[in-house]
Amino acid sequence: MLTFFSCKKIAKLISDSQDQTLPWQSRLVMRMHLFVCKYCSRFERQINHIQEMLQQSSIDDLQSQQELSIEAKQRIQSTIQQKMDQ
Amino acid sequence: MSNHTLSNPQEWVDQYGDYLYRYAYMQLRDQQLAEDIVQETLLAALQAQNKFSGKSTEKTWLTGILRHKIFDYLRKKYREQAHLQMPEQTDTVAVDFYFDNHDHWEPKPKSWANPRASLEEKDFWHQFSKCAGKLPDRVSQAFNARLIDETPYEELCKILNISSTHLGVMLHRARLQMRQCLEQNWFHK
Repeated sequence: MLTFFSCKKIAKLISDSQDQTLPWQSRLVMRMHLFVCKYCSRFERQINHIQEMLQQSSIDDLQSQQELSIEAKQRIQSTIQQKMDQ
Repeated sequence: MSNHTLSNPQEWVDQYGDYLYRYAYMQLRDQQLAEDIVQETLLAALQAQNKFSGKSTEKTWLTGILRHKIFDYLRKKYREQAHLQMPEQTDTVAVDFYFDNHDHWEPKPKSWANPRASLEEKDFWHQFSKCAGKLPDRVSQAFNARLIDETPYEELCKILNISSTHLGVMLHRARLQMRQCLEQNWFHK
């Protein structure tokens, strides 16, 4: 019975459970599989880590190599100035 | 407690320009477009100063306006260019890639030693962005909007012009891809 629920199917349930509450039957099947499958358990743990990483990160960490060029800053600044002077 | 005030708009570019640009670039992946949206955001904020309640910080408020503008842009794009978008099948096939024909993990996920410690390392974030950069545009937008902004499912479906089933497959694909990329390039290089 447990093998009917393949890792591929369970992985999808794990992913879905991150975004919505699963029906209790799916949750039960998922938990039972996780109890015996170390790979799916790792998957669950690791996507939780990824979620935590994203929530603890700042946009500056994630895109540190990007920044507004001096030209763009000046352009935007003067557009704001113009609007304020109107 | 509503105790936040706005600073002089003339200081907004210096204070928040890079931050807003990074956020926009992360979602839009286009320099010109990101610059334009930052400008639109600050101009809109200029007009809407009297609507600032003070309950959030100035930065949060500006980011909220930016997010709305990004979502408006994407909503329009994915409606007008619906015919150019990858169907659900593309993401389903991408998911299959992580399993063998007996539906077992292939390759098998390895154990990660002390993932929290990695967060302190600048190189880690560089690798994280590289991995995120490999996600296709719409998948990346879904992933960011869901995991960072916690955009509700239904709203995200409307913005990206996809069914909720498709969104589920897309997010699953993103998680599988990110997990494997981080494992192969960082945790088990």
